[in-house]
Amino acid sequence: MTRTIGGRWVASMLLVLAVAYNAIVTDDVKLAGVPLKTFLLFAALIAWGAVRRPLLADRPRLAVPVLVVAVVVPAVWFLVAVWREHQGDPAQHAGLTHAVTEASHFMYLLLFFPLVDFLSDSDRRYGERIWLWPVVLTCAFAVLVWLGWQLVGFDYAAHQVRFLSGTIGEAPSGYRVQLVTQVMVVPAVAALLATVAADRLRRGPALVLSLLLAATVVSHTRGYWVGLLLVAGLLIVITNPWFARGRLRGALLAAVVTALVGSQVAVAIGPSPSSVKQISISQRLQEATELLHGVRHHVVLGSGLGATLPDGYARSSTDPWSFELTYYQLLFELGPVGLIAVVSLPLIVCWRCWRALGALSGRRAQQAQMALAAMLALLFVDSTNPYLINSVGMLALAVCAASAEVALSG
Amino acid sequence: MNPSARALAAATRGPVALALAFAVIALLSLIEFVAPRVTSSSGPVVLPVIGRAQLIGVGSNTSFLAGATPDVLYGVTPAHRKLTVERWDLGLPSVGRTIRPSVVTVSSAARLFALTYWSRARIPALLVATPARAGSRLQVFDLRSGARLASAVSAAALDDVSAITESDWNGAGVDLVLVRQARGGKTSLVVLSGALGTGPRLATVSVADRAEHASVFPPGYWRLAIRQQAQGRPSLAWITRGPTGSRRTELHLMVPSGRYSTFGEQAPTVLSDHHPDLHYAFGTGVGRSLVYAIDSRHFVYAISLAPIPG
Repeated sequence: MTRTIGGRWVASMLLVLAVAYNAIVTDDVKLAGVPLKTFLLFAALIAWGAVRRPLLADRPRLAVPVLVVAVVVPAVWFLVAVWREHQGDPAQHAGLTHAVTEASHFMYLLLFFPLVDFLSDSDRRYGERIWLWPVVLTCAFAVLVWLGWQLVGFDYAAHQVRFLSGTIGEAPSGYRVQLVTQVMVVPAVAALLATVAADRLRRGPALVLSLLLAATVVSHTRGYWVGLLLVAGLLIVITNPWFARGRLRGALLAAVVTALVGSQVAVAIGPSPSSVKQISISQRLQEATELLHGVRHHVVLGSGLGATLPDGYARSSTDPWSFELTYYQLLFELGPVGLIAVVSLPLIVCWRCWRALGALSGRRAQQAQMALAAMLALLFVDSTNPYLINSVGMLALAVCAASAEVALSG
Repeated sequence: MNPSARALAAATRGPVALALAFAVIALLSLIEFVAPRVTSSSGPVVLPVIGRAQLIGVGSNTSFLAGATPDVLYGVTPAHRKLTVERWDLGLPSVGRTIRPSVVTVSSAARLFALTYWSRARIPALLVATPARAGSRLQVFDLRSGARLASAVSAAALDDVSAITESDWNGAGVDLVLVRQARGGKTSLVVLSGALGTGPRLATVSVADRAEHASVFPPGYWRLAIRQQAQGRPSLAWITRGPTGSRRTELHLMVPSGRYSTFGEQAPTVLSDHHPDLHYAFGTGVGRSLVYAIDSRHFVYAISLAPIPG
């Protein structure tokens, strides 16, 4: 018994460490070329598997779609990459290095399984703090870095402050501090607002919310604001009592999904990149053109994980496979089959939460509302930003899916 | 309960608080969405840089025409045995648009790069130099196709050379100019005749020691850049902390008319100090002399140079 309690404590601590490290540290230490967070991930998963008895009991409802994205997709499309590389495909000229890197990001979604157990534990009323506090800490760091420049005059021209990295420096819109992991602010604000909607705005959540918004202000990142607007707007709608009874529920979900698909089509058929004045928009329009051109090479299964555009166009030298337009990138790398496989998880989460909302109450209703609002917002945010295919993007997905799972399985 | 407490209680009730939160987020979003962004008509420009590009020059994308407004900024990113040469359109209205990069395969020891125009056709080309341990070799590549146009062993050692350029030194054709920095800090220009420096040495010019300007410039880091000119002799730029203590980087040009002993042009920049990863390229805008600086955030700043008064 003691050993079981001790084992559970160790497993919980390892999970806390793995989640916090993933959500805070943006410039990871590497051991033998492998990021430390990978070791922490596996330590947390092994410890969770060791104390769960029986391991396969009470299989989560979302286990299959989660495993598809976390394991099947990287495994299958890594093999596609191997095949393309074997064929001498120029999209895989880097020799699978990028394929390994990209495939490794998907496995962070496996945190879903220990998170479900952690959040389900009835002893932990505030279980969501496991990921909420690291996000708050990250935002506090971002604000401190900004204040360091504003008040003391520190200039972080290397775009890195200790273990924090991102976009730090002067910009036309103002001095910006955008840390790589800050996208977690979207589910964090969703969780706080879902609590506020059910009760009232208390001092603690108000302070935390202010900090998260302050960090978003200094990040000068429009993608985050789009996400937060969607979160707040969706929560106003779905927490309203008439919504549970309303006939327009299905129509509203269809409208949101249509807007998402429409925005992606608009990018493809939009104006030419050179005719748009704003560089960030122009860059995305150009990416769409280049990626759609790349899709034509392998229209069914794509060019494989880690594929780079054969004509050399890239957004980043360190990750030339990564683009702002995540879904276009997935279409190029995984083909329509792989894109549907990846997007199916957030869509299934949204659909199940949407259907169950009318029947849920109390804490479970809040969790479902949070999961639904955050997941839909992240679908939009990820569509024009490279936030999904990395460790923290998968953590955000795992957090939303785990909250939905706990809400639906109670 | 007094009225103010009642109002606070009402405002913090769930649905009201949620609506207030939405209003605050909408207001802050609005501020962000109307904030100035990097556009094609205002600097700085954000470029989709493939790597940590070293700017090598501003010129034409097709062939160089004397007097024409340069419209393309060139940058080189060394990686493994390949150089990725990027080009960005600087001509309005499409400032910052990427022109498809080209790849040049070189020796991994290559470390000095310059933009040049090859042969009478003035083909935009990349001049690449490798140090003595790799054979002190100079190679020229076509920037459009990546094909090697010429190769030669330099007549002078390239180990202590910090910058190279091509310039018509004495009006008799294109020559190779090396900026040599000795360990003691002494800087000199070595001019070799011929585009690849295979001819005799034309000149060796000592550049005023930076110590001679210690009264002008406070201690700071110094970087040497070279202004490439299609015709005439090049200028050298000292890049350092502003003499006024402005916490800004300033550029001061040592011009050939001053025999490389006095400064002729200067440019205060918007860039703060401590930018060790900045790269510079010189060009000429419409009726003015410009320097372009790029940092690792992929911002490019176009900075106007002005003559030093008096």
